[in-house]
Amino acid sequence: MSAPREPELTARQITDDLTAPIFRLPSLQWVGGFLTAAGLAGLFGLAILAYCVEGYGIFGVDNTVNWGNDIGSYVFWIGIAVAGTLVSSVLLLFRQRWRTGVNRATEAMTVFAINIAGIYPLIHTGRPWVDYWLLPLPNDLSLWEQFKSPIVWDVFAITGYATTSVLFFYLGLIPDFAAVRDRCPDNRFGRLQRLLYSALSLGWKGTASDWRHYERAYTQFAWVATPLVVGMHSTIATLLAVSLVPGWHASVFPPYFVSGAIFGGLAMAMLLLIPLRSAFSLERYITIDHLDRLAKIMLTVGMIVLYVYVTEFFTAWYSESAAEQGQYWYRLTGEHKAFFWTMILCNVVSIQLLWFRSLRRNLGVLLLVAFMVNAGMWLERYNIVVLSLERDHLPSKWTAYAFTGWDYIILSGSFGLFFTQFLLFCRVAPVVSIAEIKATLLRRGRHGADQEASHG
Amino acid sequence: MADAVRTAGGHGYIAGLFADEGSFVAACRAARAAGHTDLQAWTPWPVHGLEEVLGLERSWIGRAVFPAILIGFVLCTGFIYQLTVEDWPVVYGGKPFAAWQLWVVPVLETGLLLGAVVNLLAVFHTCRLVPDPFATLPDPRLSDDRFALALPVGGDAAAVCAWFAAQGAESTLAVDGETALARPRFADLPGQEAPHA
Amino acid sequence: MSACTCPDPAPAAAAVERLADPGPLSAPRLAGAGGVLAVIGVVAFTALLLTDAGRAWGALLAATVAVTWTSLGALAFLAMHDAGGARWTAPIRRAAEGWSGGLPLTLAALVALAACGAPLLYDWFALAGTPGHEHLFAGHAKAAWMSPARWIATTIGITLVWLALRHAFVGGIGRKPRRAVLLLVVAGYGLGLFTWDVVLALDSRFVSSMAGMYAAVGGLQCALALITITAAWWSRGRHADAFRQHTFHDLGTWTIGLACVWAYIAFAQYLIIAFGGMDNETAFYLRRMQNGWDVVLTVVALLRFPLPFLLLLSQRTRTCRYALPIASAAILAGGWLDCAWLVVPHLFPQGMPTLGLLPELAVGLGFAGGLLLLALRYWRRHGTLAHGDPDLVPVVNAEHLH
Repeated sequence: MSAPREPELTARQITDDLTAPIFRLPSLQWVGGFLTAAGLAGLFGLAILAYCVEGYGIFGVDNTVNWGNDIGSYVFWIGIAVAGTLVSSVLLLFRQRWRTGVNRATEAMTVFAINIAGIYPLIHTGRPWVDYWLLPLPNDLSLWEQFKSPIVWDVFAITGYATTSVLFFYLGLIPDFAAVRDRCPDNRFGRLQRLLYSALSLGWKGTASDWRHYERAYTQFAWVATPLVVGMHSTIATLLAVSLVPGWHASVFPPYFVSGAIFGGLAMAMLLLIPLRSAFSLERYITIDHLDRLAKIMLTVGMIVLYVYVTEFFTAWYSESAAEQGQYWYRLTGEHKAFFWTMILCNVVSIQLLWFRSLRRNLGVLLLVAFMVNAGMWLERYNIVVLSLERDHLPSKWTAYAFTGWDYIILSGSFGLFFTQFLLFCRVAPVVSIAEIKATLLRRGRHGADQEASHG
Repeated sequence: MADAVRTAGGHGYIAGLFADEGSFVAACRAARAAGHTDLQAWTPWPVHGLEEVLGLERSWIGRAVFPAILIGFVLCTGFIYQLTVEDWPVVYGGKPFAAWQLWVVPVLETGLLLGAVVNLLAVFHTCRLVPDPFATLPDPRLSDDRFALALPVGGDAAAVCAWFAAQGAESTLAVDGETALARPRFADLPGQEAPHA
Repeated sequence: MSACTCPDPAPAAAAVERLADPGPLSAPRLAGAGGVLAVIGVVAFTALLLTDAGRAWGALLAATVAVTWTSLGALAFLAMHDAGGARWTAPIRRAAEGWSGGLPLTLAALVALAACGAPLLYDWFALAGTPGHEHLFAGHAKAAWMSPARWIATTIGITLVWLALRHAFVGGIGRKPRRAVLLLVVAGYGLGLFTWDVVLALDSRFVSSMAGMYAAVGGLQCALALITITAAWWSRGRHADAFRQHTFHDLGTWTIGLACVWAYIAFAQYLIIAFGGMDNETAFYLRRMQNGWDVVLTVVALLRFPLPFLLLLSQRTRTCRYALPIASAAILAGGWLDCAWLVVPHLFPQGMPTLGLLPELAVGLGFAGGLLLLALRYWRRHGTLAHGDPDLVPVVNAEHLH
């Protein structure tokens, strides 16, 4: 007996489905998840407080491995932030209409990840009360900051990217905020909500002329955001690559970091989207096809990352540099070799499952692979940052880095902060772009064919 | 009915409300064919090809962004040159003072950031987007599942309403076509009656 | 950017139900031109061989690299879209397949290099079997790797694998996603090793892990330029009904995008090497950025990035009959000059040789003529449009855009 056919989607149905979480009371699962995440976020705050009181020594860094968990996790979160806007922008520029199912969540992911990423270097300076020195201001001797230093490039890159991704995210939300505004219930809380969403939607009218300018501006944003995001993560790569530390000085680092970021970011997007579609009954908007396509992109960038792993080892061997060869041998066989091999298991072996269509469409497998890739990408940054510093050019400096309790706390706290923000976002804004998904799904319905498929 | 539309003019607007995108686009096309240029249309999502149907020009926003990016490039380059070459040159890693290759990243990021900000300000300006807690659409369903086309109407509102009915509109309402908000200059139309007929 | 007022190459037209089939391609004048170019190349190579054999093989290597990267680029461009399920490439499928046919030239050139020319280009190749060979390297492993037998086996082996993959991929009807994926993986990984062996091995101490990506993006850019020029040519008569404005818009967008990616890859490699200041790395750039070679690099950079970028920035020019082929021609010129810049300064670090790069250009034109003849042969056999492809007519009618 065939399953009953679902009724065809209407515009009203789409609005109802996507705005429902905003108007109804949260479920117990949401409350439980939120409290857990918020608790972890509280630990993040506690770690920062302890650091402000006790100083930077509470973490495991030392004079050799002076870029430890902070910078490794910073690169990890920046990577998550890269993927959201990049996926959204690039898919828009390539006219991939299926992006409408996932772009809102990935853009939100970007915004929430980048503010966490931004906190790490501010802590890492050791004296956060003078972090304003990072801005292009002259010091007491009228000496300006050094623009030939990649650290300064990084400040510009992060600031520019964070601002642009927030603006891009907000611009996309404006018509949806207007849709929420016009559906607020007529009760006391509803009127308060209406006031809020009226302000947030900036009096959006949705006239033909408005849409004309809006769509142009949205595409322009994608054009601007794409080089900005690639440039931003490449800048972080150059932060390492222009130095001579073994394992860092590789010309392939910029595209390596960008592809790695997309890889890890897509994995995080899946970790968010799969529970999200189930919790908010969004299976018709975030479809298996969408996840299948995301998995394909993940596999593609994963293969590029693998190419870089191979190239790095080959380059180290080919270069005949004792320091480079020693570094990569250390990664394979040193005391932290478990980190390296776990990374290979997560980033290389696990994604091979995605060659099979049936596994790409299996949510359990996708969740497992996404989780492993996230873990693998964090380990990759750890290996790059920590293991390279542990075995640099000066053997007398070699040490073994280890996490302290505060490192564990701040790391788990960062995930708590991220999920807290995301869970809140799910309650205040549509997690799928209402206007865009209507334009896609209802247009497909009109044409009577699966036009959602890629254009490419 | 086209004659009625062609004779419509004046200060008020009457909007036909459509439940179907196809009928709405057809009505827009018919109004344009009847010689109307002063049209206002609301849609809950961007309708492909509506710009051409309504005779709207391509948005000018694209032309604002590229110059903004270039200005950002020039400003940031000038800024860094002034600081690192003129104000206090410092030898750093044996690099020349004016090592432009090492300025590319901040210059690129600044230019693109300025482009993004100008892009946003341009769309805010041109769509008149300001935090307005009291802004209401002529019909709340216009952000949900209804389309509206407004024509200016002078003395023959009834004819306009009838024309809309013939085009498949499910109802008509009086709107302020100038601001595209629900601030009608004359009372709501009861049924198909014209207030100034 | 000023607005381009020239007409679209293929203005919007009514939907078609089927496309005209003008039959096998007959372009005797073009074939004649290809033949003349090939003869020019052979004559120039012979003349160089008699006067300065090292230079002759250098010119041949530069042309080989350009043709190889471009042919692979054409294959990879199509394979990327097939793997991703994209449909808009249906009208340009045969054009891309035709331009991917230069790999036999690669094979012939590699055989010739292995037999005669390589010792004049690669010092480690010349010293093989002598005590001096071991002294070039710090360890035995690399010395064993940098041996003529391994080099010949690897480069020719990779080329044979590419030829086999191409044979399995081109022709036929419709997209071939599985073969496309296989081709992309093998071609991508192989290109890295090929570029190390053929280009980076000129200086056995130089390393750059970016080399494979540099080659891949450069090849894609040149291949797209050839495809675009071909599409513009066919749109003016042979397939006026098949090449619409939206296809040129897509080609233009890809052209501008790849120009940006090339600039990104090239600049990132340069920046990291220049900033790092390691002697084995900077020597590669120093040799290619003094004594006049910096001018060549500047011209390469201008032709491959700012010129096409600025020319195609406006949506109007991106579909323009003149702007798009001009930008593509600039990219092609830049692509060949890039390869010459990679190879010739290695032989002439003291500055531009006699007659500048004209003899190298003549040899390069010979390879271009050979590639053209191979492409024409392919189009005569397989047609210029993939008639029967279920995506073709819908794409021409722009159904994928609605």
